[in-house]
Amino acid sequence: MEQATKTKRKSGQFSSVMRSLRKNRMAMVGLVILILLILVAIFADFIAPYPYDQQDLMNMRALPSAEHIFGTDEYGRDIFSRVIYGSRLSLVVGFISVGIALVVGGILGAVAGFYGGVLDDIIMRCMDILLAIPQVLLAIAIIASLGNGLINLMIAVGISSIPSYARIVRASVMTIRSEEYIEAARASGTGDAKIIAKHILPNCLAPVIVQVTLGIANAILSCAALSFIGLGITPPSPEWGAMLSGARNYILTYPHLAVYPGLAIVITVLALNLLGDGLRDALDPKLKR
Amino acid sequence: MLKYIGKRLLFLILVLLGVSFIVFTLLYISPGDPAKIMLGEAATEEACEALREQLGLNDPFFVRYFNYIKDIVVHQDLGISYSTRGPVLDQLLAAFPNTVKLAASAIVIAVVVGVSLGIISAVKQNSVIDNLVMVFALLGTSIPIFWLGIMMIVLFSVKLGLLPPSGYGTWQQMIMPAIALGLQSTAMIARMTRSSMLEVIRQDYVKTARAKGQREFVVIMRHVFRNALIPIITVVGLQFGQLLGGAMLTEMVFSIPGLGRLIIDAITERDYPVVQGGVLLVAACFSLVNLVVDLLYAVADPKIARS
Repeated sequence: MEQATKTKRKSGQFSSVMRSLRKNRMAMVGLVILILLILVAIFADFIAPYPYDQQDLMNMRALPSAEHIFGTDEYGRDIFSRVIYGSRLSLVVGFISVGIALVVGGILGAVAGFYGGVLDDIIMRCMDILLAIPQVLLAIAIIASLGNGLINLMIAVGISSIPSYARIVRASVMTIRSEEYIEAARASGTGDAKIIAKHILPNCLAPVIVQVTLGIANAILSCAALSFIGLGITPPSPEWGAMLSGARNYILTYPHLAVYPGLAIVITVLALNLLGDGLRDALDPKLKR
Repeated sequence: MLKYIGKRLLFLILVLLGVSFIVFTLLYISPGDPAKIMLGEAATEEACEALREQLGLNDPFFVRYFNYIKDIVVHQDLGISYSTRGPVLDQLLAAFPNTVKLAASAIVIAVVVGVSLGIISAVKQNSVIDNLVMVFALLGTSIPIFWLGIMMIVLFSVKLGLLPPSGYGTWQQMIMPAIALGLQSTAMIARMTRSSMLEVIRQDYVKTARAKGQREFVVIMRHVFRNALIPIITVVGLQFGQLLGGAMLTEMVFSIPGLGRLIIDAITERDYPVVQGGVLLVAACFSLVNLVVDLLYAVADPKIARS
């Protein structure tokens, strides 16, 4: 009986959020684009007409044609196929680095907000130190230390965004921790860890979901920026930023090389931003800016 | 007020100590032997050992960190560059003004254009102009700076031949970098100005101002904009950090000899003292800007100053 009312209430919340999200045309556009991108990433093997690393040295830097609809790059590789495969890298990096930041930042923020006092001071002062370095620069410094590569890139981007999650979770935990139902859980002898995990974190999901959506967009941008500088995913991997970095050497003579990887970044980031804005409006009217 | 500023400055020093420790540690654990980097792979082991001893690289971690901080505080010395063998500070000071000029031009463009667009958009809510501004604001936050820079070079330098594609020195060379760097902030500021204005514009005191026959321009500027300022100042301050990060990318695209390029080139050459000094300098700037922003709050809202 209790279980039934609980699920009913949850689905009520969920459907009210969905209803309000569905009314937001821009957010739905973002959601549809995002789903399409995920499908493209999953089925890249079937969509891409060529392998991403197949060189055709007789056909380098070719303009778009029926054979190569986006043209070919400096090694004669099909740009369309590379952009398609690139969606895999960008989405994976975006999701995993935000996952790292969310888990670490979330735990730090929850502990800081729940216990307060000295522990809160120590954690938040550490976050202040990280926040004193612009995010891209922090990611650059971390990857300079760890070395290039996909995993290190995700770690670097993830660590550099920990403070924003820690702050958001801490702020929500602090507003919730003095609520009566927390008091009740404590009175009935529930342990701290269980209270945080079962009663507090589920109730501060709304701002976190918004931050995660916008954070993935941000992570994809950072990842492309780092690869563009030459400090992330390096060629021949078809990462969009790395492709732009290669294309940059030819912009005066073959500007078309730089168009499509950049457009791919813009579309992905735009879709996530649209969805994030819509979610913000749908989940919490108070957050509406 | 003075006490508050003093407290904040003290806190700033602690934060910078923390930053220096993090960066020092990161570069300490990174691979590569500085002596080999300076002398080349062919150098004899004796020569490397002598250099390591001379630079104090054989000391334990905490001794090295302590000496690094001591040199900064006592001698204003950030160490010597592995690649040029000159003082790091000289290199940083040579590059710093270029980055400041770039970031300052970008923030001026962003504030002027962003605030104007935001005000117009709020006053003409739901009009065609409003919708255009909002589309611009959405696109502006989604376009990566480095791609925008490349596309601007393609359009204005390659296709139209109007502006030089790269370099630094003349004002023509500054136009594209400043716009490219400022666009994202322009978009954010426009959005924040609009929503902040819209919140104020329906207040009763605005109706009162209109009712007593104030000209519309005065109503908007004095009664609405003035009261919408706080969130706008916040977003401008936040944008400055983004700008310092973005400046690094802009400098790469347009070949501007600024801090960002210096740091990135130093990373490729494993010139770690330059990286350390550069990151520390950027963090110091960013923290100072944040302090100034907080002080500006007090100016914009006397209520905060009094508390």
